[in-house]
Amino acid sequence: MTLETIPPRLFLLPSSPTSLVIGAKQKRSRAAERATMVSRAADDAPSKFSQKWPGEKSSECLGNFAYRISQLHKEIQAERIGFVRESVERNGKKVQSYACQLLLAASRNGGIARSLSTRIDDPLCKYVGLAQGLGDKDGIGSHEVVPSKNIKLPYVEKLPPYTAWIFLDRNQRMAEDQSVVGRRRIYYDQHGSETLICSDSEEEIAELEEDRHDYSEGEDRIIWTAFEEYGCTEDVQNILSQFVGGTALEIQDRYKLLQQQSHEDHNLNVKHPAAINHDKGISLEKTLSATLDSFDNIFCRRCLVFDCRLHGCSQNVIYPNEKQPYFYEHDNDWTPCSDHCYLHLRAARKSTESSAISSIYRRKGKSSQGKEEVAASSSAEELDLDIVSDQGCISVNIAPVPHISTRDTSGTVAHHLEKQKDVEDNITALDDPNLIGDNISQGYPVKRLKKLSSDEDELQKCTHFELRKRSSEKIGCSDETSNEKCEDVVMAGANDAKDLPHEAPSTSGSQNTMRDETEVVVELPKPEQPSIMQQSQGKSCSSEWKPIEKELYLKGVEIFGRNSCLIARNMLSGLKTCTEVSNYMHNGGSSVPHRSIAAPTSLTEDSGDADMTSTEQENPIRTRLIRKRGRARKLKYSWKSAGHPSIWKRIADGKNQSCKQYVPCGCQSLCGKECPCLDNGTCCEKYCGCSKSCKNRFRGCHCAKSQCRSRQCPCFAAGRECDPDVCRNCWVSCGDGSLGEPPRRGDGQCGNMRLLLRQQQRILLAKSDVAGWGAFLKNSVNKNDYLGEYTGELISHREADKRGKIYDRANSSFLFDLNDQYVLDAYRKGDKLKFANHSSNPNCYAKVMLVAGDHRVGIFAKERIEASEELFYDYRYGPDQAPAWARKPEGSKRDDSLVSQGRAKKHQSH
Amino acid sequence: MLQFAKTRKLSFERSEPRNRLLLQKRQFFHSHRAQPMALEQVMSDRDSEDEVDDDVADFEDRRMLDDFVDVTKDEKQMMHLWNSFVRKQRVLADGHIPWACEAFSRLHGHDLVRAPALFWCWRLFMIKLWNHGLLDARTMNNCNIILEQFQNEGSDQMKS
Repeated sequence: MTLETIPPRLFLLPSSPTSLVIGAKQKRSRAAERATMVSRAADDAPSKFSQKWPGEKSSECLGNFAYRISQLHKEIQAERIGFVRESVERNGKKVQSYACQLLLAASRNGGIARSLSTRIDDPLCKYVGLAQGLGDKDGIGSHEVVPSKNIKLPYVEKLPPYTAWIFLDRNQRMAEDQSVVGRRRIYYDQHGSETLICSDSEEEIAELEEDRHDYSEGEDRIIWTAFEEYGCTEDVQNILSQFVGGTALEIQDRYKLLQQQSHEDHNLNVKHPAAINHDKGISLEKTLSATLDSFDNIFCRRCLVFDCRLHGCSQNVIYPNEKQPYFYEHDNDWTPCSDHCYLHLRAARKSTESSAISSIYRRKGKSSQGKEEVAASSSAEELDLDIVSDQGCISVNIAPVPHISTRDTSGTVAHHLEKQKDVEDNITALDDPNLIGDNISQGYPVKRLKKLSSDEDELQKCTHFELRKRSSEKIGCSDETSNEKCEDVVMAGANDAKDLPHEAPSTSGSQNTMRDETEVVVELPKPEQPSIMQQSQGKSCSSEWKPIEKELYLKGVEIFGRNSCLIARNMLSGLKTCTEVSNYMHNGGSSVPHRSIAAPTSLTEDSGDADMTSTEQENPIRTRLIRKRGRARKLKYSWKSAGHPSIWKRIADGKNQSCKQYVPCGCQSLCGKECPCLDNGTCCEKYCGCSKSCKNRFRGCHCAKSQCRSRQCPCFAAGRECDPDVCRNCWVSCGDGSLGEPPRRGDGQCGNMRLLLRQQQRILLAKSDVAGWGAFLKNSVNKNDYLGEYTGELISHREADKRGKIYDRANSSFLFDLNDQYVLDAYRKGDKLKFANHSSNPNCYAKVMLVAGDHRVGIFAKERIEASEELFYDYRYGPDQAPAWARKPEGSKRDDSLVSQGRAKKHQSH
Repeated sequence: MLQFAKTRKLSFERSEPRNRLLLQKRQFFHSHRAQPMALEQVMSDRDSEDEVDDDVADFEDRRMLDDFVDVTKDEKQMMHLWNSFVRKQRVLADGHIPWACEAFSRLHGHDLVRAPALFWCWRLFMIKLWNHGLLDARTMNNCNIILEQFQNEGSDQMKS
């Protein structure tokens, strides 16, 4: 209080020594702000002050700052008052309009308007005695019955306590907001008939006290303006913490968050104008990966649906290591795909060679002519030099190949094409087997090379055609140098002559090894070529090809090979015609595909790898969490081996080990020591990135007629359901018949896909003969028949510990240990099998099965069970975890109630 | 008709009379509301409590997808159509995907060709499926041929 009296003049004194404690500074600044508020002495802008007294800048700024804040504070408050007033008015009007209607309706009905008050005075009937009519089924007439005092209510059997729950047909991962960790949980204790709060450990109390400051919109604005105008200094933070509350550190964090948000907002705003091109239905400026981003984030590759409730969103996207083979158009007599098919073009070109220049040529000529002239003076000589030098180098080394292109950056695409051609031919002439060997050893898949080579035919055709054109006409090109150059090319590329026969499409399939070799060399510069690519793209395609179109084209080449019909139809429908695609392929596209194969896949796989390492680090942390928990249903499970990889035996050795959660690995080719699956002790599955020949893969079964129902089936023996994609004969169909069915594969007799196919029995709910509710069977079943799945929320062990505490007290638990990472909780969400009770002499058993990479709990018949029998299975309680009724017969109810009362901590409220 | 449904029906018919007697002895309850069940409901072969109603599931799915803020309307629509399709057609295995894509193209072809943005979502999704090795190039081409046919039909109708 005394500080308030300090006159504002004080803050015009030189700045305080830095040794002042922070607390003192805070006090001063608060005083300053109050003082300025009262006296309005600091009305001047901060810049003014700093001009006058530059030496006193900092303290001056602070004074001003405090004032500014208080001003802002007032401003915000005024705005809020305005807003509140406005909304009150607005709502008033709304209410009035509704009220008007009601009043109008009431007045129209006249006397009934007051029906409520009249009915109170004069009810239709009056109950004098007990509510005697309730049990009657005679209807309204019974109201008239003369009251008699001895009516007996029919006896209704009391129902066991029932908690509402949501049906789940498959397990779900717990939504984050469903967690009870760190929350105060209040429950009703039946034995003491009072409401208690569940918090019995220090840790939990600590979590409760750690409440954080919630920032209002106004506070956010103050923080934002303050930091924007005065910078992020300690003083500013301190003053703000006085004003807004929370510690200086918290305020700083908040500011960072706000900064982030504004940055994101800004980005969004920037993005929006260039959003979707509505004619085309796709944004042309985005990249392909950005366009696919939503799909990558939301699609679950395992469940094949979007926004999967089991595996969640933003999973690591893992692409299979093995790419699919190219799709070849088998019929040799290609029919044009459309009016704009490149085949039309080619036919025209062939028949009338001397006729008007084809569109390819025309375009090429246009785009390159100007540039050619510029470059021509030097390029003719350079070209020869390049070739010579490269010829020399290539026999020694592969690397110089990219040199040509990078050195001659001013050259046009046409030059590049021709030059590459030259180099190829030279190399072909060298026919160096070492090169090819090198290349293959570098890991370029041969398939791809072959594919490209067939396309190369076309490319060559194109160039030949062009060359001939140019040399014969000589009119189209004004500069002679370029013609000379062309001729050079023709001469240098003497090998071209023997390529000519290959032009016919019918022979394109048969490539001699020579061709492949040529190709191999062209492939080489691939990784080092970005400079050419950008250049060629920029020059040859001018502005016609948008980024997304280019990427779609590249993807198309990846999927279909260099087939412009297929690419245009599947990738660029509505954007580009087949002719355009074919032109692009022959112009700029020739060098572009070099990237197409290497870049996109390797990029995604790299990122996948990076992600994998991060999960690798996460997983052990999760598994290290506390294992002890209140009365979970435990399931001992031991692996017994029959024909699966040796890695499985490690699990079988540890007898009480619970199953390990499977996380797909993103390993390249074969899994080695660093494979997370191998490390975790799980098999690799079809969802892993690794090759199908990976030694850690589970290979499924080849069972023919055994129906996979016994341990002879390796899947069954390993506690797995058969997988229609992996097992040879375990095919299952799909479709409801309205749209046809996929072709059958295998004989589909498999009896080990019952969880997957939900081939369950009908379960009924009734009062249990033992305790509470029970699950009953509608139809009789045989031994080992599958009854149904125990579904629930997948929660972490930590979460299960917390939930278990409450469940213990309520004396009913629906927790089920699933694996090392998850516990199933059927309390809130589950299915009717959650009501099946425990018995030490049960008629059912629970078994954790691995179904398509997920652990699921199946309930199976342990013996023949007749219709309407109650289902029991052994929860496998720990020795001290079982409730009284599940222990040995001598355990009594009274005992149990004492135990749970003793453990609960009373809630001390008023 | 699916195979498992058949076997279930057979075993049920054989033992019905005896089961009926056994089931009469006990009062069963609806699992969702804890209300007593009539015997006809108990005896019924259909268990509505163990399945998700398609309309409800569709509604729920839409609601969940709507929660995403950075996904376009068309993407959501495509995702919803796909989810609904997968659930109703019981697409369970990777090997079902090629069939599913063709059937989906046929089922929703009209809607897809009418809305270019939706069409692109579907096409991009097929590319995504190819990336995962779930869809082969030939099937993708077939799907696009199917859709081309829809497109041509549409334009023919416009002309006539």
